[in-house]
Amino acid sequence: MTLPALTFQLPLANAGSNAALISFGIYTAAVFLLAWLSNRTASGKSFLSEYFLGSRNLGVWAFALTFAATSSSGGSFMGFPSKIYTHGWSLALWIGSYMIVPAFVMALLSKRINQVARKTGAITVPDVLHDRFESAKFGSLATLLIVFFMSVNLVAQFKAGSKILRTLLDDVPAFQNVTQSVGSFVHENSLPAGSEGSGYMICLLAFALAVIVYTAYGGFRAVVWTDVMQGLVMVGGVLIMLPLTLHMVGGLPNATEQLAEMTPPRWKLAQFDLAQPAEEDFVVSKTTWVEIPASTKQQRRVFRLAEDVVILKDKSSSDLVKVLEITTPQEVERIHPDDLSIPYVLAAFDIAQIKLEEPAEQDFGIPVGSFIQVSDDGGFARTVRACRISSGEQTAKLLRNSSAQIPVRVVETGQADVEKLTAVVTGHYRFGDSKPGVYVTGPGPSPTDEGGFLPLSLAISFFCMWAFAGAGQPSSMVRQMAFRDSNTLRKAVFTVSIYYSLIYFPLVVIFVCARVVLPGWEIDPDRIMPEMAKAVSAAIEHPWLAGLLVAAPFAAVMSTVDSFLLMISSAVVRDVYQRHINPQASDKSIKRLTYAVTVFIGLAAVFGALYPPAYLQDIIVYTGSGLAACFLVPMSLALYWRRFNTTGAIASMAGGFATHLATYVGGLITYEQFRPIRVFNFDPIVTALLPSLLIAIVVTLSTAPPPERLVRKFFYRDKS
Amino acid sequence: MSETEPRKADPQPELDPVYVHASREAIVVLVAFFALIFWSVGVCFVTGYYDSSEMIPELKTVWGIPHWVFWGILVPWMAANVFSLWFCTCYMRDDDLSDPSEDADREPGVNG
Repeated sequence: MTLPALTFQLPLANAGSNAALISFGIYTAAVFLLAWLSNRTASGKSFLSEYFLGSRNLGVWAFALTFAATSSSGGSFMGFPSKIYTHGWSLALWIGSYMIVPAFVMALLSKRINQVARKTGAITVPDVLHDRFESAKFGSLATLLIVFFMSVNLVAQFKAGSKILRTLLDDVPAFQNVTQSVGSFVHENSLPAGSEGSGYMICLLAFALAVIVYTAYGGFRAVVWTDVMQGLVMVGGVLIMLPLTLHMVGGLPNATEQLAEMTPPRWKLAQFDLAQPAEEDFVVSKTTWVEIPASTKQQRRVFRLAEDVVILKDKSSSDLVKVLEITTPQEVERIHPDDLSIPYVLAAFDIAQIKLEEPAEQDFGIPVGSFIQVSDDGGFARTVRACRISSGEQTAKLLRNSSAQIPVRVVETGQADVEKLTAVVTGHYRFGDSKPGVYVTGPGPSPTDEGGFLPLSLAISFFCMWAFAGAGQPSSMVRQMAFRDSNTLRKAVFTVSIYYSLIYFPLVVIFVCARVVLPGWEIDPDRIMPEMAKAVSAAIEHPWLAGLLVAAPFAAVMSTVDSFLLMISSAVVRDVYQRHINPQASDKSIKRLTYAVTVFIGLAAVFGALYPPAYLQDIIVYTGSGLAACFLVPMSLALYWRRFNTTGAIASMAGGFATHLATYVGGLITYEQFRPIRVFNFDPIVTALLPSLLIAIVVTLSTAPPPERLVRKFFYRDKS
Repeated sequence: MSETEPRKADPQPELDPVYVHASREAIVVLVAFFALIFWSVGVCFVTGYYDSSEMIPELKTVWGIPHWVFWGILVPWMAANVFSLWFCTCYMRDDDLSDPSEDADREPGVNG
């Protein structure tokens, strides 16, 4: 089957933006309605237990869907699809552990943690740990770690929520006008504008306002009810997208067949030249398709702009910009360049990172036309820009834009005219370049790793990571404290198993097809979910559907943010204020403080998200695995090992935290990036859980056993 | 008498049945987890992995799914769902988790 040209899809999506906005608005209104209803339901019940734990009375659907929705974060609907898009079918193995995650996570701890929480009246996770060991120190350590990790994660989730909302609103004229006005207002009044522009800021504030208001107003029950709705929206979104996507690509066999022919794209640097100087500033926006037409020397080449191109008035050339070149001939044929209204000539260059074997003793320049050796293949490249290496540095800096990457043209012959000067061409995939079939086999293509995206050790590591990280999340533990009875638990385990089956494998199918439908989104892969929602809706000429489909990732982010907001709030109010500052506080003052703290934390996260971290998925992974590294071993042993004592528990938690942190600090030092060192290629969570377990055992056995009274209370039948 | 020593006059205490059942259930789930990791990763690696120097042979698919994903992920996923059904309906015990404490909103630090 021949797929249609790509440019027809966006105008249809634009036309439906208002309809999409309306359907999305209906969804948000429903969230508020549920919050209001839950607040009414809460009237007359004990405030703390109701506000933070829903009076421990969750039924099957509420428990199952709040558990599942909270686990599905912005990462599930933004980061995961972008990874599938970038690496192909190997993501099925990457996420494969979810086949057993529900049973593993819920059967491992739920029954016991629920029982212990009921026995002691615990409302929060630190409460459980405090009461199990009767140790204020341990409770405080747990509180501190929860506040730290969840606050960091909250910022990343706010960023994800804002990005999704922006994708939806970007084409709406009213939004564009508001963005322009707000941008001018902020600029004129010297207000903090954030690092991402006024559009992002408006979306961030809208998202924050919605989620903070309904969470603060409705508490845990509102969070659970909205989670139920959000859980249904998520699975509904996926199940609607699946057949539409399959229809669009002409069936999965056809999509996989096309995928098998694909080769990874290549990053290039490009320069635009106009036939005559521009009469006014000329801007070509990011995502635009451009081409170098076929000639006698070469076939037609197509590129997608990864950043805006600006040619100033009276100039005829742009600066160098980053572009993505599509390398699969069938795709190149299918892509039509956008009309730029002015004739242009495009020159594309490889990107090379020039390195010296030793730091330079004095500054020196590398003139245009120099031959440099390409270390990868022993070939040569010729520089097309002058660059300079400063004294004491080992990497080149471009004279004009201070980038460490230099455009080169790879040539077949030449000679290195500067001794010990070599270059690494960085724009090609390190694994899978020019290799058809790499998207349908393991370990999957990788732009950065020579061993591929998912080598065997990493596959094992991820299989363990999802299960262990899921079991060790305090936000999951809180939900396990809130279900009604063990019959509810039994039904919920199977419900969540089916739920995950309906979400994760279909997501893999949808986004391997997205590679076929929407090429070139490697320039901003986090946008592939909303873009795919727009594309499938436009293809069936019901663009309003995009609003509902985009609500799925939005719901995933919301359901995580509201839970984390409440977790942090409960840690501050219950575990810090009520336990350490004012144990005699009245119900009324606790209530006021709870509302105030929830709002304050939400606003603090908004401020953090104004200047957001660059690596959304990396931060979510860091905090998620960090929490599990700290909590899984101490909580599991607290519930199942009678000999486990306070010293062992504190040492285990601290050991898990320190080991996990050490892998990231080591990564920062080694790679100068926010990525962990992987010992034997294992994820940091696996690396951290082992020391946490060993420390727990060694320290516990070398210190005094716990008081018999506590052992009897938590492990023996209560005769009363 | 030290707090850590059991009182001699006490009869042999009986383990909490919830603790006993939950421990057994946790072990069964751990065994299932390790069986599935062996199956899934093993099949995928043996039938679907190629290193950078190997030629990738013509793709075999089942219902449009690469065969290594079908046998290494989809089939064990279905098996895991069957296991979950059995585990929830036949193996997991319906235990009494007891009523919530009356003092759920008690002043913290006074329990125990």
